[in-house]
Amino acid sequence: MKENIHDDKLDDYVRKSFEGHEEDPSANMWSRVEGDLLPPAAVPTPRTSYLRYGWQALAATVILILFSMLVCEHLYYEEKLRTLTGKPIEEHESKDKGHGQAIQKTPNPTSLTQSSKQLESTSTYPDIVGSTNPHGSPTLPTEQKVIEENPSIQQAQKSGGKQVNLIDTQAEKSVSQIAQHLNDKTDAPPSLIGVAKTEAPLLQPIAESITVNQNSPKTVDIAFVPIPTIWLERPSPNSPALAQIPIEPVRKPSDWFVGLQTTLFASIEKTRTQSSRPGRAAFASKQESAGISSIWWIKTGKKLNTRFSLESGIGYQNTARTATHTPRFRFGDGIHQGPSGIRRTFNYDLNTYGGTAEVSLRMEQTIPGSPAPDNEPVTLRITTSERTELLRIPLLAGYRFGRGRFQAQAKVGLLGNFVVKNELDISARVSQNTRFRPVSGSDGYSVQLKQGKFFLGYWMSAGVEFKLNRRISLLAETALAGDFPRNDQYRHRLPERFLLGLNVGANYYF
Amino acid sequence: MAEPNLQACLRGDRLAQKHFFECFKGKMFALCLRYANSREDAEDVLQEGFVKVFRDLNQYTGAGNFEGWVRKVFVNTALQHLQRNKKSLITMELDGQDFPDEPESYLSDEPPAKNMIRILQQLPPGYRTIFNLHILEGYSHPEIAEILDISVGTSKSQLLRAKAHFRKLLESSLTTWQS
Repeated sequence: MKENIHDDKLDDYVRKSFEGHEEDPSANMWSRVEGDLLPPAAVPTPRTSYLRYGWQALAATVILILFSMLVCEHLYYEEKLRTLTGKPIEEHESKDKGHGQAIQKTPNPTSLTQSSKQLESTSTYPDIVGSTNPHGSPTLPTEQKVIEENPSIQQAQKSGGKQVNLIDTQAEKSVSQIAQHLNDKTDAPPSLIGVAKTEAPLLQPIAESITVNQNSPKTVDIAFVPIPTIWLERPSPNSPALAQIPIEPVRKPSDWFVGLQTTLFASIEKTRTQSSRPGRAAFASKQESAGISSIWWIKTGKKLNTRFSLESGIGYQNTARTATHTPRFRFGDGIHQGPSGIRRTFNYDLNTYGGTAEVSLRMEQTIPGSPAPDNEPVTLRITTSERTELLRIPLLAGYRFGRGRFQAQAKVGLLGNFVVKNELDISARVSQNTRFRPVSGSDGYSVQLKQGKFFLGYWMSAGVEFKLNRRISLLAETALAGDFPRNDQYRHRLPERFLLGLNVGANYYF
Repeated sequence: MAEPNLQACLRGDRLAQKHFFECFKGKMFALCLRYANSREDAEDVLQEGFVKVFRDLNQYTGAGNFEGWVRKVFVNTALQHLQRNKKSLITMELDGQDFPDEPESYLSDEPPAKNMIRILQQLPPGYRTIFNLHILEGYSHPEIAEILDISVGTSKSQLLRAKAHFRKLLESSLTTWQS
C-alpha cells in the first residue's frame, strides 16, 4: 500500500480506494430529508372524465342534435316535395284528409255529366262575395244559396264525409272557365285571391269546390273545402289542366344556404391575476399590441322562417401573438448552476393564451467573483412569440329584420374552439438589473408549453345582407367574439381574448 | 435494489422518494464526506443535496448518466456548503499553519477509503476541493478554474500542493499504523 503512494500512481490509487465506497449516514437522515421536502406537488384533483369534459360534451351534443334536426328537416321536405311532384294528385289528397273532404277518383259518367251541366248553369258565380263556410274557408253567397236550396249539402256537411267525383275532361273545362273568371276578378275573396295569385290556381279550387252528393245524383252540390297550401305551390305535373294552361311553375330557392366568409378582427386580451403552484412562481404574459388577424369560414345554415335562422360551419384561424412578461425573483431563488454560485436557474410558470408554459431561465452575474446576496433582485423583461392555429365551429341563431333585398340581421351563439397547433418561444430577454445577465445561447432558457385542446367561446354579430338575386347574397356585419373563462391544468386562469372585427362574405341559397 | 421510479418521485410520491434515497444515500454520503470538514457537515450536505435532487428532478433531460447527474448536484451542494462557511474558496489559500502536525491514527481493520476520507478532512477546504474535483470527479483545470472562479495556474499549483500534503499525511498515517 505504502509503495503505491511513492510513485506517480497516487491518483489511480486514490480512485481505486474510493471505487464503490459507500458510507451510511445517520438512521434519521431520511426523516430530515423528508422534513425539508415540499408537500407533494399540487396535482390537480382527479376528476372523472365526464365531469372534466362534461360541459364540452354537452355543447358538442347540442350542436350535433341541432344540426341533425336541420338536416332531417331538409331531407324530409325534400322527400315530401319529390313525392308531391312525382305522383298523382289523389295521393296528395289522401294525405290531407284532415282538411275535410276525402276526394276519390271514381269516374261516374252520369254524375259527372250532371255536375258539369249544373256547374255550367251556375251563372251566379261571377257575383260571388266572400263569407265563411263550416270548414273555415270563405263561403260565397252563391254557395250559401246553393246550400240553402239543397238540404242534401247541409246533411253532407253535418255528416262530414263527402265524395267528389271530378276527373272528367268536360267537367274540368267547365270549372276551368269558372276558375278563370275568378282569377280575373280583383275583388275576389281572400282564399280565391290566393288561388289566383299562385302558379297553378285553376285546378285546385275546382277540385276542392265540387261536391257530388251521391244520395241525390240529379243534383250537384257545391261546397268549399280548405285547400292544402302545398297544392297551391306545387301543382301536379301530371294534371291535364296544366297542359292546357301554359303557366310555368316558379321554383323557389330552398331556405338552405352555404357561405364563404372571412372575419377580420383585432384581438384584445384580458390578463388575469395569477396564483402559483406551491414553491413555483407564476407570471402572466401581456399582449403587446392588438394585431389584425382573420378567420376564414365555410358556413351553412337554414332560414327557419322569415325571421329566424340557424347557422353552423367551420372556421380556421392562424394568429401570431407577441407578448411580454416581467418575472421578478431574488437571486437566492435560483438554483445553482456550477459551484461558484454566480450562475443560477430560475423556474416559473408562464400563463399564456395557449396554456401554461414551464420556463427555465438561466442568469449569471456580470461580474465574476463571489455570489451576489440572496436578496438581490433579479428582474427581466421577456418577450415571447406565440403562434396559434384554431379550428372554430360556430352554432349561431339569427334574427332578420325588414323585407326586400336589404335585410338587417343579428346573430348570437357559441363557438367551439379546437387548438390545432400552438408554439411558444422566447424572442428577447432583457435584464433590468445590470448585475445580472441572461445566459446566452440555447442553454439560456427552455420553454415547455402545456396547452389545452378545446375551449368554448361566444359570438355576437349584427349587420346587413344584400340579395344580389334570388340565390346569392352578400353580407357584412360587425362581430364581437370572446372566450369563456378557462383554466389551465393547475387551475390558473388563462388570459381571455376578445375579438372585435368585421365579418364579410357571400351566401348561396340552393 | 430496484431502479428508482423517477416519474413517481417527480409527482412527489414519498415512497418512491424514499426508495430513491435508499438507492443513493451510501454513495452520496461518501461523496459528501470527502468534501465536508466533518461527518456532521457531510450529513447537512447530504440532506440539502437530496432536497435539491427531488426539487430539480424535472431538469434531468435523460441525456447522460443519471447517477452522474445526481453526483453533480451533490458536488455543487457540497461546494455551496463550503462557500457558506468561507466567504470564498479563493481565500482558502494554503498556509502551512493550517496543516496538522500529526495525522489521525489509521485503523487497520477499516477500508483504505475511510482512512483517506479522514486525511482529506484534515486538508484545508481549498486543497480538498481541488483534490476532489480533479482526481475523483475528473474535472480539468480550466473547468475547476471556472467553477471556483480562480485562474488555471492557481488550480494547478494548489492541486500539486494538495497532492503533496495528502501524500505526506497518508504516509504518516500508514507509518503510524505499521509501527
